[in-house]
Amino acid sequence: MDRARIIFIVLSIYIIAAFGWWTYAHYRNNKTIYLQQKDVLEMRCYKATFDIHGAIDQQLFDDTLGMKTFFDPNYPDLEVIFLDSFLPMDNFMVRPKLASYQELEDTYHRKLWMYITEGAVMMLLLLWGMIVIYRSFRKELFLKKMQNNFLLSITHELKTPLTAMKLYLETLLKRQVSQEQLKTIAENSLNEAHRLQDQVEKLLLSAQLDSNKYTIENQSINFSELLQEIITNFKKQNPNEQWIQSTIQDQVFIKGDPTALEMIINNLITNAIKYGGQNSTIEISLQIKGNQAVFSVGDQGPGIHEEDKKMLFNKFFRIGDENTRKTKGTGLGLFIVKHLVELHNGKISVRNNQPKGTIFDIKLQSDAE
Amino acid sequence: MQNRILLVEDEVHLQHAIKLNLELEGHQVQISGTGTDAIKIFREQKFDLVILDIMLPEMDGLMVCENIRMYDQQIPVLFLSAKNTPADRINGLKKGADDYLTKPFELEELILRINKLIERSKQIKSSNENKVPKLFKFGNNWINFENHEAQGIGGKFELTKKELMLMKLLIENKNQVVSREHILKVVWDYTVIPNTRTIDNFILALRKYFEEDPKMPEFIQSARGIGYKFTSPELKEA
Repeated sequence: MDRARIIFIVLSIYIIAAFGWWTYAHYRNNKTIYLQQKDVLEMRCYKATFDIHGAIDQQLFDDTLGMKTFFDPNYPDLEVIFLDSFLPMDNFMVRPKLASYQELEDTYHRKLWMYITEGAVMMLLLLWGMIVIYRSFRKELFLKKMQNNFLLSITHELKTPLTAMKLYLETLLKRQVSQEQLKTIAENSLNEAHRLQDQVEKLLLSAQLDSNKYTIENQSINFSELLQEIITNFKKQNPNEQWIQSTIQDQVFIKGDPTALEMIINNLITNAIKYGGQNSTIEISLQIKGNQAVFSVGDQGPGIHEEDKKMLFNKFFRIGDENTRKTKGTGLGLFIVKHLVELHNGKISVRNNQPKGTIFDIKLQSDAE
Repeated sequence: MQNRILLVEDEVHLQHAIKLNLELEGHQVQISGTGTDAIKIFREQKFDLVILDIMLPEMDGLMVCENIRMYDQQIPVLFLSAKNTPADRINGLKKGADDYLTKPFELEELILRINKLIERSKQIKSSNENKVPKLFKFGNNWINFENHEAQGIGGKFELTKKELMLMKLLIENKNQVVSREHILKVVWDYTVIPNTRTIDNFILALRKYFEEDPKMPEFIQSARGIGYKFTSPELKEA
């Protein structure tokens, strides 16, 4: 991984340096050409002077007018100046026209600007391209790591319940167990079966969401009642472990899918219990703000780092290393929640709880009666 | 005697199912749910076998295995993990495990492997014990392991049973450091290791018997913070 990064950086530096050198070489060439053209122009003056002297000797013309008619078409970029009005044919000088200089200079500057702007644009494009490549490269690495983490967690999450169930069944076949033990074994096995079912359903659901094959119903739901029901259920399941404090505004209606909504609520509360730590309080609230129903779940766990917050809703994302994980999971829960919220045209966000912990907010369009 | 097995597994139901079966097989099972806890328990108690999961909270099973190997080279370690690629298995064996079983596994297979590992390690242990000759000479000293007699600096004397066992253990592992935990487990047969200075007193006594200068020991040397080792420049076997 690091070797690839080093190769990429070295290659980038080489390309930028090579391109920079290229641009500089063009700039130098341009200047050389300009200076040489200026020299050529000045040399043509000598040649013209020489030619005209020859023409005078051959008496091709005998006055300044004749000389000018000979000179101008042959040397359009030069001009002749007569220095002595009495003996003009003996005392003249040839020099480049001001416009000729101007033209050379203009060409020089035009090219200079061309190289500078083109160089700059190309350099920007190059940098942009490199950044794009680097980003996708990093994303690739990240995806690979996530895939790896996912493989580990899914291996664990699917195989563990299976192993336990199988072991229990083998135990029943092999051993004589007491009625009490039998009950424990059956209960535990059932528990593991539920766990497996849960994981499989999550996997299938996330696959459906991924391929946009999951559709939701659109009916009017009493969010307050639904939430209250679920909370009561949770309190029944964990009678004394955790405190759930809820402030729920009555008669909050939204349009949506009750099953999906239940999944959203369940997922967030389960997460809060899982990551909140022992004896921590979970705060649940539901209220109408403007025309929106705002549902929040807060825990008092260790909280989430800023950089992890960005990745939180990605498929398979789990914080930390899978090998030394305290909490079990597949990294699908929040991915599913986010998709389901978005299918309801809602928004999910995460912020820090005070003094510590995390709060998830979900905003859904309220369905005013 | 019941075999004591340390089961390091963080899944409650798996803990229960494995423990139940091993207990029905006549083993005694101690459960640990995290890597750090497993290391702590391992150092405090005596076990005949360790079953290790790899994906554990706090510290993974591979590190636990490496750590265990620092204190005990002999104890059989069996990995029981959901990770099933050849690379995972190779890695596990490289870290010092004796066997690797992937989840889900067959109950019968697990039990057979566990029993075989324990049996084999006991055989090795007893054959190691026979390696030390009945009459062992070092320097001008000798120890007769049969009748507890010994020749030391101050002439002939008789070693107590514990002194004899300690010397035997150190000589069995000559030139290797034997950890305090291991000494307590083998010589004193502790299943729970107390915080004790017993060993130090025994070592002091043994040095007085056999060393010319007990403050600059030639044979029975200390490895600070870990344990002791027996070295002899000219190991003569009778």
